[in-house]
Amino acid sequence: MAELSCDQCNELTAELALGVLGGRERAEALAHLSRCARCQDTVSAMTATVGRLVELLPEADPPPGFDQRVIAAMTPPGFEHPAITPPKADARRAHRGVPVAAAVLTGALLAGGGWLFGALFPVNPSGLPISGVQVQPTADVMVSPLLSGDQEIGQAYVYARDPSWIFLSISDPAKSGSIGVSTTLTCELTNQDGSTVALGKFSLQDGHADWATQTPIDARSFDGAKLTTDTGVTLASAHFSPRDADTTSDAGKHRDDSDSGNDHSGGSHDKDSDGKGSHGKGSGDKDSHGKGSDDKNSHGKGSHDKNRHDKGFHDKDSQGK
Amino acid sequence: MHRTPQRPRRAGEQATPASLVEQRSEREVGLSDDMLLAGFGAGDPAAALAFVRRFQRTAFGVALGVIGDAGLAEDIAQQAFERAWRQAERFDPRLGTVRGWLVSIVHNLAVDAARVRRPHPIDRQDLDLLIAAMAESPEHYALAGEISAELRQALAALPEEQARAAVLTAVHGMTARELAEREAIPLGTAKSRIRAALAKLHETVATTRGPHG
Repeated sequence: MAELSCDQCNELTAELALGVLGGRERAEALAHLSRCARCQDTVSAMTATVGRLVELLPEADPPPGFDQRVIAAMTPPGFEHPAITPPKADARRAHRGVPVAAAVLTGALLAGGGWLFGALFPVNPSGLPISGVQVQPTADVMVSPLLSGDQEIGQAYVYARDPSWIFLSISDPAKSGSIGVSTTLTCELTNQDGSTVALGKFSLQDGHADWATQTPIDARSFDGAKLTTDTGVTLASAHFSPRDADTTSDAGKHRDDSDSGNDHSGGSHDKDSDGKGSHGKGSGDKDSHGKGSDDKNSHGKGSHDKNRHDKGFHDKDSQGK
Repeated sequence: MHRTPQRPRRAGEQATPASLVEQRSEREVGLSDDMLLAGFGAGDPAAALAFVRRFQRTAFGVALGVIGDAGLAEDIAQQAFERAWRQAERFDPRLGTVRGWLVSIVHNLAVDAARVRRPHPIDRQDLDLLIAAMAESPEHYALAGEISAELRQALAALPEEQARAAVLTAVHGMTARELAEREAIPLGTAKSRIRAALAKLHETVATTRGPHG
């Protein structure tokens, strides 16, 4: 391989910048560039010009609906649209959507998951969380309370179809005393045979956290999830397999199932009505639009959107937890 | 497939989740490109929708210019937005504009796709039309900055064979050898056309003082 002079390399500037140089010429040119900052600058400058040239390409209207399709392709399966609703004015108007603290997911999840998973957790560019975000799971998503003893500290959502994931939402302000204000928790998948699979760790902020991960889930052997503290103590668990008798009988039901599903969200909403709102940190869209239930009806997904939802709410009042 | 939100809504009609994103998305319209990209990268669905809407004609236009097929162009543009979302943190405003960055993402994907299967090489007439569109005077392009206006003029001023060389290599990723075959000229001639064309275009950019693009 010959060593090029600067003059010889300059001859190749255009083709290098265009990215159309190949084979030996390219190898020789790159070798020279690696040793010559001046020629490197020359090529960089030409590369910028090539970029500007490509920018002159005329714009064109994509087919209708393109923008929606692009966003839809980046939304995780199981969540059709993240519903952006402002905090409820009336905290007693519990609804199916589970308030989600606007925590930012780990970059690894966002990159590896390939979805706009962050869509579940909008964050202002300034980094301040946006309160009042509701997650609207579809009928394919199972939900179960995360129980610490008999105390509900959050919910676990599971989407068991491929690609499967688990999402935890924890809201346990210090009042329950079961967990510290800032704690690192390890999440494990639990199987019916008692085996576990470590899924990852996350931290609570002021007793709140939202965390999700993709993980293979075999619906036949899968039982639930559990959270342990860094001392190895099991803090809380959620169960989805039907045999479990310790949790409330509605554990693991799909959203389109019994009203007791409301209890879970009802439970958490009660907690929220104690003043946390929808984990109301930072600014939010404080419109007076708190019609969560109606949003779900118009979501049109069917089963879990029926008026039974409102009935469920009334039933919740009469049922114990 | 998802509903396209209907506007305007009838009075009293409940807002759907999708249309709430739309409402917020409309408020994002005033944000700068950089801010919108940051929101997009952070996963804000309203910013995501606004970003796609702001740049969809750009992305689709670039893809279409390279690949020549609307269906493939849509796939490429969609992939480009996904890549932009994933790589949003890597955008460095010191190195260029958001639009320029997105264009390069689309262009790279499109050229790769074209190598695998461009339906057919761009024909002479379409190429001339494309060159004319790129060289078109800036009144038609709201985005034109001083540099892009000068560049358009410089492209328009090139001898036709040099303009073809510039576009076939820069836009369609043709090598000098491929250009030589297409134009039925010796390889040496192809190389000199490419170099002469780019040198003239570059001189325009280098001597024009102006803001980005």
